[in-house]
Amino acid sequence: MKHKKFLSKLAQHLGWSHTKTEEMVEATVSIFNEKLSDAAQISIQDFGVFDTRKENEHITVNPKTKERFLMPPKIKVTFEPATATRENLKTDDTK
Amino acid sequence: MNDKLNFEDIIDLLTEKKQIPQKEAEIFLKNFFRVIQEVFPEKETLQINNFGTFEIAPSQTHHHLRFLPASTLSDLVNKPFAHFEKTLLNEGVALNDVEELLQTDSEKVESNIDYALYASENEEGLLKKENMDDDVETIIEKDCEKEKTMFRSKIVRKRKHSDVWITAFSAALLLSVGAFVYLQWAQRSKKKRQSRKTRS
Repeated sequence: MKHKKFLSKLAQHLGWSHTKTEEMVEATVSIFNEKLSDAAQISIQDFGVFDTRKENEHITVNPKTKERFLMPPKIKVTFEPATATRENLKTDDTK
Repeated sequence: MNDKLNFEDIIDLLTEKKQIPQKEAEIFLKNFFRVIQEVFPEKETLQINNFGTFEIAPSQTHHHLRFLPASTLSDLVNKPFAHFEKTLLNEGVALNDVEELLQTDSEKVESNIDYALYASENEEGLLKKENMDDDVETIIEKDCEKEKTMFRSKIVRKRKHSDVWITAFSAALLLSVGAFVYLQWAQRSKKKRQSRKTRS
């Protein structure tokens, strides 16, 4: 589902105008991005946890060309779905 | 800085940012996450601009939910490492650099092993992640092994060089000692001859 379709669905749920919903989504996304870049952990009950994880520098070898590359350290954003979210996926399977 | 934020903190931040009543922010956020939750059972990827994509990876036992951060988010998060780049390491190294390279190589091997350990720990724990992660792990393990073998070969090479130097040095020493002894003997024999001449 693309961003626009999601927005219209959300606007429908809220009974708000499209532009207002879009503004609010943008604001929430910017809050999330800001906080995640400050290495904060965001946990939302019954949804999941957004967290950041540092990946150390390491060497990768291209098996074909045998070229060795030093990969720089990296911070990854991870999302761990809550049990409720997982159940949501499971129950649908059994139906 | 707050290390852990929960739903209430996000509500507060949103009310502050948009200057709206707290109740409104709460209603919005509740609906925001509810709608996202509603999309999941449809087994559809959900894209939110500037934030990321929620992807459902089908598997035989149960579906995995994966979050792929958007480039804007990953760039923001990676700001401290933005100046680093993937660098190509040279294979053929000049002899003078061997020792230096040895050290750095061993360090890298260690860090690599750490990473592999970390990944395996993760696998044992909660994060029984996607196939992709497994691939990455195997690649890293292979890398580790390669690094180790390279490390060993370099040690062997270094030892050979030191052997050559020792033999060269000892040969030079023997030569110089021999020359010294010969010179001494020659001088003494000269003196003897001179003394004989003077006697005669």
